[in-house]
Amino acid sequence: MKPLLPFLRRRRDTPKPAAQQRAGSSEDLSSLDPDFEPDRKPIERKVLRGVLGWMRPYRNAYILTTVVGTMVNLLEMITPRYMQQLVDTDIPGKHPNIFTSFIINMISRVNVGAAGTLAHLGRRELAYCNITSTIGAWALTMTVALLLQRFGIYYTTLIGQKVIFTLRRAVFAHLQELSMSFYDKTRFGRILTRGTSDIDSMSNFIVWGINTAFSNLTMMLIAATIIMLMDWRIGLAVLWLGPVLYLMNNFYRRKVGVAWRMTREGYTRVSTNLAENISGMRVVTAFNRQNQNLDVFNDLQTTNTANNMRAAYINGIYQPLLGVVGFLGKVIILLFGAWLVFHTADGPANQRFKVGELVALYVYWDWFMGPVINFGNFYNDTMMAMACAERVQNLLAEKPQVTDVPDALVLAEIRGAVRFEHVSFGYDPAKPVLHDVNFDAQAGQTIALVGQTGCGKSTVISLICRFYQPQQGRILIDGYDLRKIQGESLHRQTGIVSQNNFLFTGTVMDNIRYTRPDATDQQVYDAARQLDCYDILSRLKDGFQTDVGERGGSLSLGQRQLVCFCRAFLANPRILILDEATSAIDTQTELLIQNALERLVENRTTFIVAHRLSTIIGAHQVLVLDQGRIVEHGNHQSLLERNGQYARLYYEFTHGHDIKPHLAP
Amino acid sequence: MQRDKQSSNSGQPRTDQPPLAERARGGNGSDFSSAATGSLPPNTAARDPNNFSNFELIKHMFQFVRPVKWLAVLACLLVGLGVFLEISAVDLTRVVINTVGTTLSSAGTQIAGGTQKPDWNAFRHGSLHVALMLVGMLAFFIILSSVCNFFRSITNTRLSMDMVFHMRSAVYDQLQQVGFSFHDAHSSGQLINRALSDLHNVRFFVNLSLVSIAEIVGYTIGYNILIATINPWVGLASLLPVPFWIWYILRFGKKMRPVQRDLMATGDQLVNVYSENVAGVNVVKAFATETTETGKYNATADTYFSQVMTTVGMWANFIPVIRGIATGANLLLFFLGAMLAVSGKLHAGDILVFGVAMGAILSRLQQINQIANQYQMAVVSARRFFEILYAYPSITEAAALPALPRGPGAVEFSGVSFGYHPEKPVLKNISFQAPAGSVIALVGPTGAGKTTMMQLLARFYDPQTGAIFVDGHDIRSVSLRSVRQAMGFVFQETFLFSDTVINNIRYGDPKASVEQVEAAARIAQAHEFIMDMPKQYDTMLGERGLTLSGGQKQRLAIARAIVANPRILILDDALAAVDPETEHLIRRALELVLQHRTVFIIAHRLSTVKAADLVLVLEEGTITQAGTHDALLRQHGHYREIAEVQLLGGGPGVLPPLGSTSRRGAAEGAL
Repeated sequence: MKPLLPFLRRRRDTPKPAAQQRAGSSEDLSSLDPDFEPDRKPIERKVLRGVLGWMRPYRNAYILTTVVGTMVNLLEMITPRYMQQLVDTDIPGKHPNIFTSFIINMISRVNVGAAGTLAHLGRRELAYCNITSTIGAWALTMTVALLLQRFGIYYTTLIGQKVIFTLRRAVFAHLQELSMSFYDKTRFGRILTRGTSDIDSMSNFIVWGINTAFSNLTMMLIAATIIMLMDWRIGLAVLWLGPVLYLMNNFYRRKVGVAWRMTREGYTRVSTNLAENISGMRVVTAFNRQNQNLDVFNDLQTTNTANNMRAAYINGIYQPLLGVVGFLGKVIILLFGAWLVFHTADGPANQRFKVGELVALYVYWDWFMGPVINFGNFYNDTMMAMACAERVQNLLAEKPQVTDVPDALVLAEIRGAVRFEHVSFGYDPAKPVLHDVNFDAQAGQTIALVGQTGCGKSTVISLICRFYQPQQGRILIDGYDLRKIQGESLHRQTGIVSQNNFLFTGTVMDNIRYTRPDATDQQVYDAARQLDCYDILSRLKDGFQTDVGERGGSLSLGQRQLVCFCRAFLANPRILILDEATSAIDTQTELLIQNALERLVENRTTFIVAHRLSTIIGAHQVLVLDQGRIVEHGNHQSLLERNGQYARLYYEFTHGHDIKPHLAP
Repeated sequence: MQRDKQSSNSGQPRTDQPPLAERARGGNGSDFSSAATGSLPPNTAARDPNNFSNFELIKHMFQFVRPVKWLAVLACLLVGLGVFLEISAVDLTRVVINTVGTTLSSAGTQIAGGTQKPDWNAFRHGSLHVALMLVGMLAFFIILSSVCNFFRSITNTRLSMDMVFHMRSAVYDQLQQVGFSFHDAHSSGQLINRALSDLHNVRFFVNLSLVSIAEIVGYTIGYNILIATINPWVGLASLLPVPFWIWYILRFGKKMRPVQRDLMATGDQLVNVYSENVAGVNVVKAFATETTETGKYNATADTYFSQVMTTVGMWANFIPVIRGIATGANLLLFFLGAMLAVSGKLHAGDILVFGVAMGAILSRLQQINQIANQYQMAVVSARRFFEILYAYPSITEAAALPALPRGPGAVEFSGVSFGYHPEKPVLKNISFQAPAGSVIALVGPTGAGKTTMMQLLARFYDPQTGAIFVDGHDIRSVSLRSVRQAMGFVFQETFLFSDTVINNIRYGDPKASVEQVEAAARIAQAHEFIMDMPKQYDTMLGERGLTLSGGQKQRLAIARAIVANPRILILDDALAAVDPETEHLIRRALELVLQHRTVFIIAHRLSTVKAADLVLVLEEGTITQAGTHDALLRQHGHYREIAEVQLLGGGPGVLPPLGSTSRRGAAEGAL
C-alpha cells in the first residue's frame, strides 16, 4: 500500500533531467565499453572526502537547502495529526478542537459577541467547525510546504549542478594538461567515460545525496519518536520490525545485486556481438557466416533472457515478501490499536485511546518504514557514485609526465634547427625503443625517416614534439635543450599532419582555421591557393563551407589530407611533421598532393615519415632506422651508393621482388 | 569501397541519396530480367517508414506483441487481478477500522443511553473477535496479492524479454541479409545505435504502454468504484481533479519537449567536443590549441548548464503544482468524508481509504506523462528502426538455386555496367576474361571502380547490365552461398573480431584444424608474430585484447582467406599496410599455395602489380589498358604515368624506352 503522501518515494522522480538524459545514453556507452569496471564500490572515506571536497565551496548553500528539505518533511509529517483530528470529530465531541479554539480565540479578540455565539454552537455545528478549521490548517501547512519544496528543488539542483559543472570543466582542463603518454596507455573509451557518464552517474548523489540522507534520517527518527510518544506500548510492539526489515532488505540487495551484474554482463555480450557483427558485415557476408552468427547471437540472447528471469524471480519473491513484513507492522498496529481502543473505552476520558490515534499511527508507520526500505536504494546509489568518483579522482590525480621546469624558457620565433644527442627512449623505460640516436637537422631542411613498421620513426617524431622526454641524451631546438623549454611556446611553432588526418566537426573553413581562429576568410583562401588546392576545395558541395561530417567522414581521404595541409600551412609552423601523411592515397591523388606538399615544406624544417619513395627522394637527409637505431644516414643518392638497407628497400619498391645486386647510375 | 563510391558521387554527402526503398529497387537491377533477381513486392512505398503516419507507426510497433500475445493477455489479466486484490485489501482495512469505530460508538451510545452497567468484558471480547477475523482475512488478501505480484513481475519480464528477443533476432538477421547497399548508406555506428537504443525505445514504449495503460485503467476504475460504493457523491468528487491533473501533465509535457530536445542536443554537443578533443589529441597537442579547446568546451558547458537549469526550473514549478492538485483533491475528499462522518454516514476507515485511493489514482495518472514522453521518443526511433527492418535486400535470390559446381576458377566479365545509383554508373561495359589460375592486377586511381568490380564478382551487388561468369556459370544462376564460398576476400579495411587469433583465422572455415590454421598463418607471414604474442594462437584480439598494427591485421586477414580455401582469392589493397619486404615474402609464399587458384590483386604499388599475368588499368569505370606489366610500360597511358611517379629518381634504364614521350626528370618531381 502506498503511503498517503508518498513524498519519499516520489523523491526519486524529482528532477534530475540532465542526469537522467545523459545517463540514458551513456549507459549504452558504458555497456559497450569492453572494460568491465566495477560499477559499485564500498564507500571509502578517502573517496567520500574527495567528493565532499568538491562540494565544500557551496557548504552554506548545502546546509540551507538541507534545512529547507527537512522543514518540508516536518511539515508534511503533521498530516497524520490532521487526519486524527478529522477522524475523531466523528465521535461528536463537546469541545472545539485546537484549530477551532484558536479561531474562536482570534475572533473573540475582535468581536466578543460573535465568539460567544460560536462558543454555544450545537454539537453538530461544532463538529463542522472543527472539520473546516482542520482542513484549513492542513491546506495552509501544505501550501507552505509546497512553496518551500519549490525553492528546495530549484536551489538544491542549482548548487549540485554548479558542483558538477565545475567538475566537468576541471576534468577537461586536466586532460589538456596531461601528456601523450597518458593518452597512449589509456583507452579512448575510458577517457571518454571519465568526463561523461562517470560524472553523470555521480550527479544524483552530488545534488541530492546529503539532502536525502539527512531528511530521511530525521524523518525516520521523528516518526519513531512520534509513535513512541503517542503510545509506547504499540511503539515497542512494532518498531523492532524496522531493523529486521533493514537486514532483510540488505540481504535481498546483495542477492539481486549479483543477479543484476550477471544481467548486465549478458547484455554487454549481446550488444558487443551485435555491434561487432554490424561493423564486420562485409567479412560476415564474404565468409557466409550469417546462419552461424544468428545462432550464436540467439544463444547469447537466450542466456540474457535466463539472466533476466533469474533477477525477476529474486525480485518477484523478495519484493512482495518485504511488503508482507512491512504489512505485519500495520496488522500489529491495527490489532493492538483496536484492543487498546476497546480496553480504554470505559476508562477516564484523558486516558482513552481513540480511533483517530489508531489512524494516525497507521500512517506514521509508513513514514517510519519508507526510509528503512529506501535506505537500500540510497546506499546503492552512493556506492555507484563512489565507484565513479574514485575513477574521476584517479584521473584528476594523474600527473602530466612532461611538465615545464619552473623557470622554463619561452621560445621566441625559432629557426627550427633540431639536434638529437645520444637520445635513448622507451615508452616503458625497461624496453627502450630508441637507442643512442644522433642527428642534426639544419633549419629549413627536409628530413625523411625510413624504416620498417615499428622501427621507431614515430617515436622520434613524438620526441621532437616533446610528447615524451628521452630517458637519456638530449634534444636541442635551435641549441636550447627541449627539457628547459616552455612546452606551449614550442608547440605553437610546430605542426603535424598525420596519417589519421583528424578533422573536427565543422566546415572546411573551420578546420583550416583551427590553429588560427582569427584568420580571415581571405587568408584561408590564400593559404589554399598557395598550396594549389583552392580549386579542389572550392569545388566541394558547399565550397569552403562544406560540413566535413563527423571526423571528416563526408570528405574523401585525399580531400581530408588537403584540408590538413592547409591547416598546417596556415599555422605556419617552423617545424613541420608529416607522419605517413600520404600512405592512404593512390598515386594520382598523391601527384596532386605532391605540389601542395612542396609548397608546404618550403622554408621550414620538415620531418617526413613515409613508405613512398617519391616523397623521400628530394629530402636533404634520409635517416634509415632499424630497431631503434639509425643504421644509415645520408641523402637519397649517397645512400643508394652505399648499397645498404636503403638501397635494398628502394629496389624492392621499384622492381618488385627482383632484387638487383647493384644499382642504377 | 567506401572511397570508390564516394568519389563516384563526386563528394556529395550521403543524405543526397534517394530514399532507401528506391535505392533498394535500383540495386536490384530492375532493368534486366534474370531468373535470379526476385520480383519486388508491389507496394514498395507503403513499406517506407518515412511515409508512415504516426498511427501506422504505432500499429507497426504493436506488431511486435504478436509473437507474445498470450503473455500480454496474461499480463493484463494479472494486472486486473492484482488491482482487485489490492483494492480488496484496502477495503478490508477500512472495514476493520470502521468496525472498531462503530462498535465503539454503538457501545458508547449503549453506555450513555443505558441504565444498567454494560458488560464491557463480553463486548470487548466479541469486538476483538470480529477484528481478529477481519485482520485474518486481510492478511489472506495481502498474501494472495503478493503471490499475484510475483507472477505479474515474472510475466512482465518474460514478456519483455521474449519481445526483445524476437526484435533483436529479426534486426540482426535483416542486417545480415540486407546487402551492402544498405550498409553503404548507413555508418555502422548508426546501425548499432538503431539496433540497440532505437530498438530499446520502441520495445520500452510498447511494453510500457501495454502494462501501464492496463494499470492506469485498472487502478483508476477500481478505486473509483471503491469510493463510489462507499459514497457515490464522494466518488464523483474524486473524479473532479482528474481532468485538471491530466491537462496539466500534458501541457507540461508539451512545454518541456522542445526544451528537452535542446538540452539533449547540447548534451550531445558537449560529449562531442569532449570526445573529439580526446580523439584528436595529437592535433591539439601538436598545434598547442589546448586553450582554444578549453574555451570551446567551457562555452558549450555554459550553454548546457543554463539549459539544465531551465528544465530544473520548469520541474521545480511543475512538481509543487501537481502535488498541490493532488493535495487539494485529497483535502476535498477528507472534507466531504469528515462532514458526512459527522452525520454518521461515513466512518473513520472510509476517510483513510479516501487518502489511500486518491494517492493511488493520481500516482498512476502520473504515468501518462511517462508514456507521452516515451511515445515521442518511440516515434522517432521507430522510423529509424523500421528503416532497417523494412529495407529490401539488394540481392534477392530465387528459391533453391543449384550450387556452383566445382571448377578451376575462371572468371569472365561480359559487358558489365553498374552504379550504386543506376543513373551514375561506376562501371561501364566491363568485359575481360581471367583464365583459371591466373593473377590479375587491378590498377587505377581512387574511385575508378576497382573495389566495385570485385564486389560484383562476389555478388555483393548485382550489375545493372551484363553478366559475370565463374567457370562458365552466370553467378546469378547459382546459389549466393556457393558463389561466396568460392571466393576468399581480403578487404581494404581489415576487420578482425574480438576473439582469439585462431578463431579469427578459422572464421574462413570453422572446421579448419590447428595445423591448417598454422599453415595459413605461415603463408601470410603471420606465424612469427603470433608466436611472439603472450598466448600465441589463443591470444585475444580486439578491444578486450591485444591491439595489432595495420600490417599485422592485414596478414591475419590474409590467413583467414587462405584457410577458407577459395578458388578465387581477392586481395583488395590488402598489402598496403605491410612493408615491402614482408609483402614480398607473402607473395612468394602465396604463389606456392595458390598455383591453381585465380587471384585478383588491387594495388597501388607497382612492385605488387609487376608479377601479375594480366594488369587491368581502370579509369573512370572503364578498362583503359590491359596487358602485362612489361607491355603496359611500353604504352602511353596511366600505367606508365604512375610508374614514372613511383620509380621517379630511378634514373634512365628503370623504365623501358618509349617513343617520344617526354618524361619528368628526377629533379623535377623531387621535393
